Amino acid sequence: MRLSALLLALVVCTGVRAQGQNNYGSIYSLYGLGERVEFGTSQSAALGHAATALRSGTYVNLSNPALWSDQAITTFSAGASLATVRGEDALTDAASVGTAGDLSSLHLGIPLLPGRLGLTLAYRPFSRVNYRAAIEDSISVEGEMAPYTLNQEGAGGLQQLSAGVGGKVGAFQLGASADVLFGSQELLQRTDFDSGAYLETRQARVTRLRGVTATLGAAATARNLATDDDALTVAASVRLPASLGAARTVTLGESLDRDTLRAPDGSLSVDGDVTLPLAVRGGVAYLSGLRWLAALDASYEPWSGFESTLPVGGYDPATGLDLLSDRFRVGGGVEVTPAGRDRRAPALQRSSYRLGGYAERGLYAPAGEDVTTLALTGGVSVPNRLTGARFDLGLEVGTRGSAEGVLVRDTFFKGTLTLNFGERWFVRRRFD
Amino acid sequence: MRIAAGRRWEGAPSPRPTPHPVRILVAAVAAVSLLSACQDPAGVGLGLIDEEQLDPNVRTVPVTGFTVVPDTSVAIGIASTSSTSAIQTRVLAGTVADPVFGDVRAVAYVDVLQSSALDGDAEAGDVSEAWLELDRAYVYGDTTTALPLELRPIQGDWEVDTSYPADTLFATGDLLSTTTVVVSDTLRRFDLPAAWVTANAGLLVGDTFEEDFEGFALQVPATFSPGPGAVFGFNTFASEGSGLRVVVGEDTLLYPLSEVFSSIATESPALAPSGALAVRAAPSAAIRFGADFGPIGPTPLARARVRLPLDASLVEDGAFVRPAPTRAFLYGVRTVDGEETFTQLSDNVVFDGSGELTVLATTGLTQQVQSLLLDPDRAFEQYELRTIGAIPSLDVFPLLLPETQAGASPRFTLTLVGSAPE
Repeated sequence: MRLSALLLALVVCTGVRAQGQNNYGSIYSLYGLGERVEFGTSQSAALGHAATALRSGTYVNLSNPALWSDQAITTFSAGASLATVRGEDALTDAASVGTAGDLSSLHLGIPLLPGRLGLTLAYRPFSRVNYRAAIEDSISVEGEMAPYTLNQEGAGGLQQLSAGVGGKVGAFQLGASADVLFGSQELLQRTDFDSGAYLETRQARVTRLRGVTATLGAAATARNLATDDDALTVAASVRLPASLGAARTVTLGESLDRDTLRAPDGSLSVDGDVTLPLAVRGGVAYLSGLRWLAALDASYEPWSGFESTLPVGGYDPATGLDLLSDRFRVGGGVEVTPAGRDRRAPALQRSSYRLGGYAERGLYAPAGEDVTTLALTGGVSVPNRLTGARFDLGLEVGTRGSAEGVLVRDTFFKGTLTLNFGERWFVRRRFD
Repeated sequence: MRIAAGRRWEGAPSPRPTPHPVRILVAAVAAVSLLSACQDPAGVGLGLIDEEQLDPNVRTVPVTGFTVVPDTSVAIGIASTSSTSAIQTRVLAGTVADPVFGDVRAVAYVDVLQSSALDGDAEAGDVSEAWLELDRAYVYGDTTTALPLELRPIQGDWEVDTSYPADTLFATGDLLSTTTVVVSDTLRRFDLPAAWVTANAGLLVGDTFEEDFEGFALQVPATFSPGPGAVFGFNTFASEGSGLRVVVGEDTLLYPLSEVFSSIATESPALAPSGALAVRAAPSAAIRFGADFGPIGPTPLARARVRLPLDASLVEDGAFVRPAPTRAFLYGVRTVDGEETFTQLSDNVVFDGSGELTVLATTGLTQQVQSLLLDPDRAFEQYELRTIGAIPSLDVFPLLLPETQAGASPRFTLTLVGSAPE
């Protein structure tokens, strides 16, 4: 337990350290409430994010609360990720390179009735805003040239805090969770002069949001189909539309020295409402003897129905600007564990090797053009000496968009590391 | 052959290292740290951003309504290197005829402390010689002047005070000596006659020196006719060489200056310049003006400068020199509960040599003006420019009047980010 806690703390600190950097990612994170982040398990992340029907005794699947009924032991996990994005467009000679770190997720899963009813508490990012575009220029100040860099930056994003239960009801698994969404979106214009005689200016439009929604899930599993040791799971989940309360302020300065500017009506903030569209996911997973696993997933979010009384990236109710479109994603992958059920095999054979990929149409369509992401995923899951614990490394490489017109082509590389622990808490041992 | 357990036999194949999760974890953490240091954003994607771009632009806020705040009270200070509000680093003596800024007569008064190196056993008979030495470091007026300065003993008490009238004169005794000072002098010696040394030898080494000795006055002879003359300034610090030298036995001791005072009497100018402010810092005059930042509004500010053009021809006119301030303070003035309060905006308003008084180190001024832009309720009623009182001078502020300038006029120059260009 002490080692597991130490490793867990190490991962959390790594994530926090990476998060603490002044990190930048894709320019497309400016749209909507940021770049959507979907995280089911570290296993599904390496299988093209095909998580909806992915059952496991080790991982708690955050994509589908119905599968929380599979928990037989108390589990907890923490993950950190680091992504490098190289962007290029047709308007700029140089490419931009940004590196962003993140704390992927934290969860605690408790089996209330082992294998039948499970409770899960989870924290994970819902979206991330972390772009920066910079332009260098100079201004003549009474005959003296003052070079400067004008930075357009976005920061923040929504976080998701979930609590819910999943249980087995007959041949089905059903589950539900309450999801609190909260966070902020900060659109910053930062002007930095080369000369130390000038002060850096930072004007930010900060929109704070919070609201509650719910996720419902269902799954059904058929066993012994092709062999006497296989299973096919079909599952679906839906996150209900969410109405978020929003408050927007315009600030000047940095950190504790920020000054809040008054709106034209004299108020310090402007309140508004934001309606997030529902999210529907469906998937299948096939497991053969703990040796082979295949999963396929599709998800849909109708962002064309997004509504907000306050302007956000690509959407402004006052001007009628609406560059948001429906988000659609398909993904799948395959996992092989050479040792299968053999617990005495060497570690490398008991490790799981994963490969997958996904295609996604983004929730934005700048200049009327869809932005498509194509990515390959992969990873390895290494068991360690602690029973029920696994150390997962994941990789993701892909491209997003195109370098035509005003669009940007991102080439991204993402690495994740996750520690998953499972221990018997609250469960009475049968034999002492 | 038996091999001891736990030992590896030389030449035997090494056991193949197996990957350990902790090792992989450490390597992964190292990779994360390495990668997170890389970032090189550029202009890619600017075409996608529909936010209004806030471009830097320059706005000027005109300075209006120069007024002069005369201050006829000055301090008698002390020539001490210790931190004190009463410190005075210069004394002035001389007379000058200046039809543009007005005639000036200055008398320097200096008192001294007994030397800390004085032997307690010293007697009057050990004192053989004494003279006053002062470090000349300032001149106002005709730099070709050979200025006679009389050295006289001060009669009567005088102490450190903060509110003497500027032209206060102290009673003095008989003439001790007259010394001619020219601009090329640095450390100037003012001799004391042997008779005075003999008469005061006991006092110089005695225990009652601090109470009974009142110091010297330096002033031009009543018969001297300035044409146009000059006023010289002398450093008061012993570290610059200033003080009373007393030869005791074989030692020459330095009696450092203590209380110092510059009595300054000025006359109104006969030929005041047109188009420029005929204001001299002496004794402690200040200049006030207005500036309205209200129209700018709450806008990000990268730099604020105050720029006050001078008539440089009035600063230096051939051999006749009128120093411009090397450093002045800028204050914001507002009335709170019926009393004026002063907020220091800059302690470094300087004559930049290009014809303007300006602030070169602008960080503090920028922060203060930024707060005014954000909150109009904090606006100042007036702004005040004042020289440093600890360095008495006759520095001039020949500020060009706003209403007479076709070109550059007195102004605040603001480098803003985001408001419409002017």
